[in-house]
Amino acid sequence: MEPLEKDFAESLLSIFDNVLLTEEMALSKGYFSDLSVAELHTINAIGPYEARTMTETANILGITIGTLTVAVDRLVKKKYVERQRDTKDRRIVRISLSRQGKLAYRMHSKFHRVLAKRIFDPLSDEERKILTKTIEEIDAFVKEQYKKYSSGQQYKKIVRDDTEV
Amino acid sequence: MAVSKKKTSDMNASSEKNPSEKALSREVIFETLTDMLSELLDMKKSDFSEDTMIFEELPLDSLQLYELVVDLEERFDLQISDEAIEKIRSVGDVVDMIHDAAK
Repeated sequence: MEPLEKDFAESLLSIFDNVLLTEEMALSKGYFSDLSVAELHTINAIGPYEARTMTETANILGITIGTLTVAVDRLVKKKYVERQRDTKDRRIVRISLSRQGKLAYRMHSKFHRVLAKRIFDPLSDEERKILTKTIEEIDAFVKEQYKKYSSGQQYKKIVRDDTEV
Repeated sequence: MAVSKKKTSDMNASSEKNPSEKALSREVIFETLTDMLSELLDMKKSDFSEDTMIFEELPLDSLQLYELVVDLEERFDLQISDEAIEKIRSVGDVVDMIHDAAK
């Protein structure tokens, strides 16, 4: 690996780790210390406005309904999420954020906006465009890898052919 | 859109309690907003005017700001974006924002 490529790979890993660590730290020291990062991401997927079905939310998060049910049970208990049955079709369960859930959603979104603003502020318009395009490409690549791993293909085969880890 | 009305169908139900259901004058919005602020910050209603600078003059932290936003959304049946929040400077700006969205 070229030295620049090595530096880039290390920085990328460091970003993944540190964003997660910082989010955890910010949570534990903040107003919502009873929430985990995973729970916050569930709150984020439910969103602050219209109630969502369990299936919609599970699809957004890329998890099974069973896993989501466990997460939602916990969030209902902690009073961040409310659960209602559809008035027309009682089989459909809709979930929405409580006032407390909406506050957690807003605070979490502020964390990400501050982070993005801090990175963007010193850059020129041209640099911002390049950075955004590059980040979008990284995002698309990672999503593509995720899809491959979750589509039932053999782990070893993907690692050997595509990512050469 | 920075600030938008949520569902027009929900605005028709008749109830005296929800100010979004009557013609929204600036006075009604100001009254509701200052009620919320005085409760949130434990201050007197007379402490607020349209010229009060929200971040410079009021002891409002970011959680309290979002409490205000979430309560305003609920009360006036609105969706308030982060971009709209960033433009707010004074109490009068909040009144304008809600008044324009409710038109």
